[in-house]
Amino acid sequence: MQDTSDEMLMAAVAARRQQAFRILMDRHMPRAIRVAQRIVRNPAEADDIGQEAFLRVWHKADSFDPAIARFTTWLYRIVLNLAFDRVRRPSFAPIDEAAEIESGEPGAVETIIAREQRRALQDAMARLPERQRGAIALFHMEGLSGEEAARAMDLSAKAFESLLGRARAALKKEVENIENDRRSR
Amino acid sequence: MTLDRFTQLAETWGGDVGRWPEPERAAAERIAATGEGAAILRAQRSLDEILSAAPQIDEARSRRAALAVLQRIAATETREPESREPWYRRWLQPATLVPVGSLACSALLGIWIAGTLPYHQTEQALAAVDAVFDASALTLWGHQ
Repeated sequence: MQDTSDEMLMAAVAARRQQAFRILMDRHMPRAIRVAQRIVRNPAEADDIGQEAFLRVWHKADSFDPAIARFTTWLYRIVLNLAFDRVRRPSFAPIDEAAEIESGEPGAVETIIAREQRRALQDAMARLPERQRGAIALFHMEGLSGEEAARAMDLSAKAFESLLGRARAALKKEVENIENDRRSR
Repeated sequence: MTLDRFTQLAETWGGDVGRWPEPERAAAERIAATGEGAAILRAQRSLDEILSAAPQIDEARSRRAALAVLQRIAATETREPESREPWYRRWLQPATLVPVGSLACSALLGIWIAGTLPYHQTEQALAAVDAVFDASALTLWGHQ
């Protein structure tokens, strides 16, 4: 069963087979939490969203149609909707998380300036509207193609291109500001 | 493709032409092969690198979340037989239908008898009631 495709596993989940559901969670829970965390920035909230997303997968398994979308596209859509809802709540207050900023490249290679730049960019990311953050998460972090990411966000290819372009432009402006600050020091 | 269009695409999709929309790729590859095109892509790649850095989700954290999901499913599914079914479905269970059916039959029998019997008792009417209620009058093999 470990080699079975996600879509076949979903058919088993629709027949209420928990073993198939466990395998799907093993494969995709990290992905769900990662995308949620990129948007809400709070690890505890991201964990909640990951759990909620898989509860929906279990309860709505019979509405999944592999002819319409791949399982991962469907899952991304669920996660994004939950994360966007969470961010829009009036009481929502994201917290800073150093783990996200430090993860990635080996520290020995990075200069202090590069770390500052990375940190400033992460802050700039946090200031982006949630849908732009979602576009960045799907295209850059998860490596989806433009078409797949557009499908996951329920957008046309053109609308996704525009969303991604705006997000990158905002971040580029931030990079330029950082560079200017550095030069003026 | 003009250099402006190439720059616009690079600013939207990043420094890897292989990830740009398919119809634009062939023309873009030709510009990417020039020094100017390569410089535009290089400038975008450093941004791509930062944007692709993902939060690390360790295995234990992911497993904890998965376990919580299974617990929540178990908790809801033990409650579900009562809460999930609509009320009329719950009434249509055999365990409910037997007493309800018996009660309905008794009520119908009562109404039928009340309608059949005259208000004043007669010998004939009493005989009819006896025939219905006197269990000793009937057996499986016929009249005693």
